[in-house]
Order: sequence, then structure tokens, then C-alpha cells
Amino acid sequence: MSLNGSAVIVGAYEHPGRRLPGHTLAGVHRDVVAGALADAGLSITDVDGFFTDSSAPGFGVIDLVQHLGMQCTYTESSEMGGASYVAYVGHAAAAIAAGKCRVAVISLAGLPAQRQRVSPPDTPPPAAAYQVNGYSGGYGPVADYAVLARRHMHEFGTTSEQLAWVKVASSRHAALNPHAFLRDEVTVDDVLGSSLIADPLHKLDCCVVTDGGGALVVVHPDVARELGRSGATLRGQGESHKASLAGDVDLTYSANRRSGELAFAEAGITAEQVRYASLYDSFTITVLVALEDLGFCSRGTAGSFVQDGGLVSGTGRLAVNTDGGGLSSNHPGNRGGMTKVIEAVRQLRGEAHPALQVPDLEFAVASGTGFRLSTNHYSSTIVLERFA
Amino acid sequence: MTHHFPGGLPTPRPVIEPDAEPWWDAAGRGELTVPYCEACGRPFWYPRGFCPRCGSTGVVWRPATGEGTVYSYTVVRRAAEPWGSHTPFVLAYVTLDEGVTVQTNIVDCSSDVLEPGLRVRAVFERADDADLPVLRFTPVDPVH
Ligand SMILES: [Zn+2]
Repeated sequence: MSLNGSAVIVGAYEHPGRRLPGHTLAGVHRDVVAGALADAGLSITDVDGFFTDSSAPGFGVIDLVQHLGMQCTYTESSEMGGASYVAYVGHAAAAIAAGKCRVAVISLAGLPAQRQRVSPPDTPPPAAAYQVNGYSGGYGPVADYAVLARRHMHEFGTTSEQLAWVKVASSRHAALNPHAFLRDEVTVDDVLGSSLIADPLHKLDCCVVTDGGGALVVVHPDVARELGRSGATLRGQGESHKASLAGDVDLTYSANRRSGELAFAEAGITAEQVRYASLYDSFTITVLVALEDLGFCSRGTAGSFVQDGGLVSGTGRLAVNTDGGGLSSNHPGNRGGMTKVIEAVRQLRGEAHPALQVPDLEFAVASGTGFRLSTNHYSSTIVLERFA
Repeated sequence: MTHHFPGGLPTPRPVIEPDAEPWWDAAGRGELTVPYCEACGRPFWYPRGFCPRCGSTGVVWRPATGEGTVYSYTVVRRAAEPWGSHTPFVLAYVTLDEGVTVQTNIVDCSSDVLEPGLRVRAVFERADDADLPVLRFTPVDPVH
């Protein structure tokens, strides 16, 4: 069974908030689900499939399902970190293709800025003892990505200036997004002048921490045709895991390499046909590695690909994260996959900011990675086509 | 600008998987061992009682040279406790001469020599006798 053409994203909604004091996770879920269903022209009683991550308030996912008033025949709350919301699009399409549901809602809510901690692991991972002190936390994710950046620099001559260009491009996009958390354009010098968190990554190499969320409505193609709303047809989806590989560590590529191959193969297209990409941007280095892994540039060349505005829509080599991405706009609940899919849908519908809209866009890619790229991580990639 | 990164970093008290006790027993004696799979003949990391490549439980724990090469590193400048009071410190990947690459810290090291390719040797640190011996590395060349 191929997922090519099996489902259409007909609703997409991003919560406009970035700091939500007084809100609850259940309340944010309600707001974003209502927003996405209104966008699709559907109601909560149409929903028979529901997908969210392990932070759902209550028992698994079913407390939230009853709270929102859904009658589901298919639910999922598997945890893949930042890859989750890209993967769920494929999982929803598979459930639809198998006849398990017809109208699936994918919902993300997070309140990390309100210190509403979600799902702390209550058992240490089995590797913790040997990955010494970092694996289970302690010094945070920045260091885990910094070792990637250092190796990329060592092998390929990538520079801090080139990494900074990823942030500069995102800030130029965010300047046009009224909801972006950071709306000021920054320069390469601003990035290099911000404090080092873990060499060579500076504060401005890191994504924002924001409250908020978003939701998607994924439906059977027959439902999509009845609705008459534009959207995005799923053409291909892939996912993959990469870890310490029994000690054969190579930090110069990520699980995106395999998930991208699978997604493009299912879609029957290549990266050359894609003029917009939503790339996971937990850190600037995350984008560089994804560009190489997904085939937008060759191995080791992402530094020169992104420099001098390479990712700025309209004037660059590839339009990336035209909402401002996680680096400048939004990274709700520390899981950026949802906003990646939403901006790809905006671009395919022609609903991105007019100055950043890619004209006559046919295909878009969204890709997300979850957990730590230097140790244990998961990725998912989707290829979408305009549905009109 | 030269900074000396000292030893004495925090040592955790993780739960030991019973099938890896031979590794910890050796570490407690200050000896670095590397698990090898008897079926496929290759070393693997991290230590466990089965081969992550082929699933064989035929594991032998061979003494390692204890030396390796820095594959990549970062100087961590901001962290939560208990690490916060030890910043800046070095998080690194070291490729052992046996071929496996290990996530670790570099201690007793000058920032002047810290780079991929630096030759390092294993040391075991524990903050007190109740802690587990944590595998870390320090430059082979003592002038550094
Ligand atoms: Zn084996």
C-alpha cells in the first residue's frame, strides 16, 4: 500500500499566542482543533481519528478525546519528539487508507514557558550509564547539537558565519509575521555577538521556547473533494531512526537522510522539483544537516548553500521556513513539527505572506527531527502537492 | 583566553543493567574494557550483554588500550545543576583505538589543544566511593 494520494490536508491552524499565562493544555487543544476544523469547513462531530503526542493531559489520549467531544475509531499518541507531527500526517493517511477513519485531527498544545512540565521520563533510558552524564539530561540539548556543528566545521569547513545565515533568513521572514515571537531582523554579527551556550552555538543559533500549538485536519480524498477547500495532498512520507549505531558514530548526517529517501521515493519526485521546504530548526545546524540529508544540496556544501541569504524566499536558493520557523517565530511545546506542516500548507494554498509566497508552487516538503541529533533521534519527512 | 578544564565533574548514579556488570566491575578497578561480539567479531558501544548488530549474547569483555582520538567536542557554557556550577566544561565524542566512538567528557585539558584529532587516554572519575566510576578522557601528552 502506498500513501501517495491517500489523504489530503484540508485544515490547518496555528495558535497566534506565544505566551499563554492562565491557559491549560486542554484549552489550547480545544482552541487549535476548533480553528483547524473551521478552516476545513468541518465540525467536531465529523472527526473519527485523533493524533497527539505523549503530553496530552489525562490518561493517554482518551481523556482529551472525550473532553473535546469526539467519537473516534482511531487514536494515536506515540512520542517522536519534533518528528511526531510530521509523522502523524503519514500515520493518519495510513489509517484513512486502511478504512479506520475518514476525518483525522492532529493536535499539538504546549505551555513550556508556563513551566507546565510534560511527561518527564520516570525511568532512565538503558544507555544512560554509558552515555555518561549527558544522555538523560543535565546540560540540555544545545551541547548535543553543538558537537554536530563542530564536526561539520571540521570535516567541511563550515563556519559560524554560515550557521548564522540560517538565523538571519528566519528573522527576515519573521519580520513579516505579526505573530512571530521574535520580529526584529538580525545580522550575522548579531548572531556571532550573542552569548555562546555551547561552542560553536550561540544563543541566536537556538530556537525560541514558546507556548501555543496548532492543528491539522487530514481527510480521505473523497471528503476533500466534497469540501471544495484547497489544501495539500500527501504524496509521500518516510520516517527513520538513527542512534549511536553500536558505536559507529557519524555526526555528519541524520535520520532525515533515510526518511527523505523514503518520502521522495513514495512521491516519485526529487528534491530538484521542490521550491519550498519547512525544515526543522531547533538549532541552525539542524537546518544545515537537513538540507544535505534531503538532497537540496550535496554532502558538506550546506554552509555555502545557506550563506548570503540562501534560504530567503524570493532571492535565495530555496525558500525555507517562511513563517520565521522555530528560530524566530514559534516552536510550541518544544515540538516544531506541527508548525513545519502548517507553513507548507500555507505555501501550497498560496496563503503565505505575499512577499514570501513562492509563486505557482506545486510541491512542498516538511521534515522534522525529534530528540538529540548527536545521540538518539527520529525523523519524518513528507512530500505534499497542491490540492485545489 | 586559555582555559584549563579541570576534572571532578559530577558523577551520576544510574541503574546498572545486570548484563553489563562485567564492564562496571572492570571500571571499578580502573580498567577500560570494550565488549566484542563473538558471532560477528566486532566491538560495540555502549556495553550491554548482547550484540546490537546481530543479537548474539556471546559477548566477551576485552581490555582496551585506553587511548583514543577526539572526534568532536563542545565547550558547554550554560547548564542546569549539577552541571551549572561546573561550566565551562567539555562534552566530547572520543573514538577509541578499538574503533567505537564514545560520548564522554574531556578533563584536565587546556582549551589551546582541544580540537578533533587530539589524542586522549581514559580516566575514571567518581565524586565519592558510592558513585559509579565514570569514563572520561584526558590528553595523552601531559604537557597539555
Ligand atoms: Zn554481533
